[in-house]
Amino acid sequence: MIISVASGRGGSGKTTVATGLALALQSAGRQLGVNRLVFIDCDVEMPSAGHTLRPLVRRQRPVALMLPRVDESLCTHCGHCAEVCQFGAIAVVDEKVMVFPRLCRGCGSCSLECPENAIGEEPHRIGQLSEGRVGSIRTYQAELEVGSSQIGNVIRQTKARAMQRAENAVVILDSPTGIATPLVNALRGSDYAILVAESTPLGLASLRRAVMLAHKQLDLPVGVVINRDSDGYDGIAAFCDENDIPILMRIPPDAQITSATLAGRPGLVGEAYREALLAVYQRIAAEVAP
Amino acid sequence: MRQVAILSARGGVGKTTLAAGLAHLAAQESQVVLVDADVEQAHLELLTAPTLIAEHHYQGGSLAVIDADACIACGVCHEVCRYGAVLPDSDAYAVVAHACEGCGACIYQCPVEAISIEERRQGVWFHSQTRYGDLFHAHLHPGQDNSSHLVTMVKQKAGRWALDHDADWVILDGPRGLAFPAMAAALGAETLILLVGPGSQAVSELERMLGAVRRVGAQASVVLNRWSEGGEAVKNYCAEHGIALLGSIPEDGAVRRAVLAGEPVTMSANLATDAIRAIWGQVRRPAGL
Repeated sequence: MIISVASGRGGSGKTTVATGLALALQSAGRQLGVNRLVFIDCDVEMPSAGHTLRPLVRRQRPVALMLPRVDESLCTHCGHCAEVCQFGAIAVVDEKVMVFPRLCRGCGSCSLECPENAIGEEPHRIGQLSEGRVGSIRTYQAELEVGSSQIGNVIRQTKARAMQRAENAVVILDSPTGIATPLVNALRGSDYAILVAESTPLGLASLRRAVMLAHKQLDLPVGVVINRDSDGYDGIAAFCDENDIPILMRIPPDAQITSATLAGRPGLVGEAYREALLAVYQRIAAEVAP
Repeated sequence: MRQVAILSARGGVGKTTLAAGLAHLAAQESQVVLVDADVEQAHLELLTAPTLIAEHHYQGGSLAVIDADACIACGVCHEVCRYGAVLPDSDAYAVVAHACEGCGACIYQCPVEAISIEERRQGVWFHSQTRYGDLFHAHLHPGQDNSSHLVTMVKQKAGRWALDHDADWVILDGPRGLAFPAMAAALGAETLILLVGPGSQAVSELERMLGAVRRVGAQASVVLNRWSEGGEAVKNYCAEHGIALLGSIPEDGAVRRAVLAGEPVTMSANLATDAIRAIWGQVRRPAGL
């Protein structure tokens, strides 16, 4: 089962909830039938779950994009590769073929289409994947190479690698911020999306868009965690009520969470938060169970 | 015309609060154009009470579409797609729109020419009026790609407007992160502010951001937000690397109150306003001083 934690807007507490849930399940999951736990940090632009979970990293491997490599001895400079490329990533100028790594999306179309079979592929680094473990949690965290646009690709490969060893596991996936293709890549294949929203009009605007994507387009069951829930604003709860979306948990403004997060410690600690997070898990497990 | 752009490594650190505050202060003495280049989370409109003047669809990117009647279900499209975007669907194959990257590999490989390419409607962009100046903003539709093109587009629309109307300042609220959308927002800004929120990882995040903006040739300065203690590491880093520190905005309950009221925090007197006013004093100094 894959439970993704997402939020359209940064700073809403997504990683706090994701790491909190993983740690709560680690401490008490066995009673709930959770024997294997996997944590995937898909926020590849600015991965931060590792600062809280502090896994022991056991292996690091490059994440690669397959970039065309032209064999000049076979190439006739017919220009067909440049015609088929939708991203302008390959160009034929006079007697030379140029490849632009930052535009290429590794679709392989040029290689498939080359009439001379002159285009092979070679790996081009777009990120680094760190695999580790903390307690009984297996962790996977990827970091995008600065300057690369291949966010979705890094996310897909990170997930694929993590899922190779996730049979019968509960997988907690920390999603990238925003509502564009990176989030699609993270949420695809999930069983449930926890949407974390800060209790302000800005949080509501983001939540609306996250619901449109996760629930309306990807057809995932969703529930909401209201963060920094305080008097003076009830827009998030009203929205959930109108749209029949369950409120899974309310987290009050808590200076201790803030200071723990800033210091790189788990924010949602203590018996009350742990119980609340386990209840969130049980509710989700009951909903997605076959 | 001078351009100020505000970026940050992560979201939720206060870009929009700073952008709205600077726009409000700048508008008291000059003509301002506002740009919300955060097309995934356009929140400047929530703090500036805009009146919509015009709304336009944004088309971009492409999508493969399979004609189910022509499809012979050979499965070649499914095999060549590296995005898992072509799946069997009853007697034919179909494209999963949100997974398709529009690369066209399936179109060229289809033996019966049953696949064509369509343009996507990826978002909407707006021209609005606010009491601080005209606002150009956009909404990327959820799940769409290519947001850097939409960022570039709203920027161009705003820049053209600013030139035609002799505006003094373009103030841009940027997208978080260090990928293409943020770099598209950074391009061409005379003053590029990297807003740094608190956290033990602030220096390493700032380093990643600086690495990214240098690639587009931008010179960045730094503003700290909501640091109560421990900002020394960032300050020292800036001093060592010759990066201008324009100011530090303290944690202030007035920021949340302003968000709830839907206005710039600088509309009332408070500690955050004092800090943003001091930052504006740094930004508005004539170029080259």
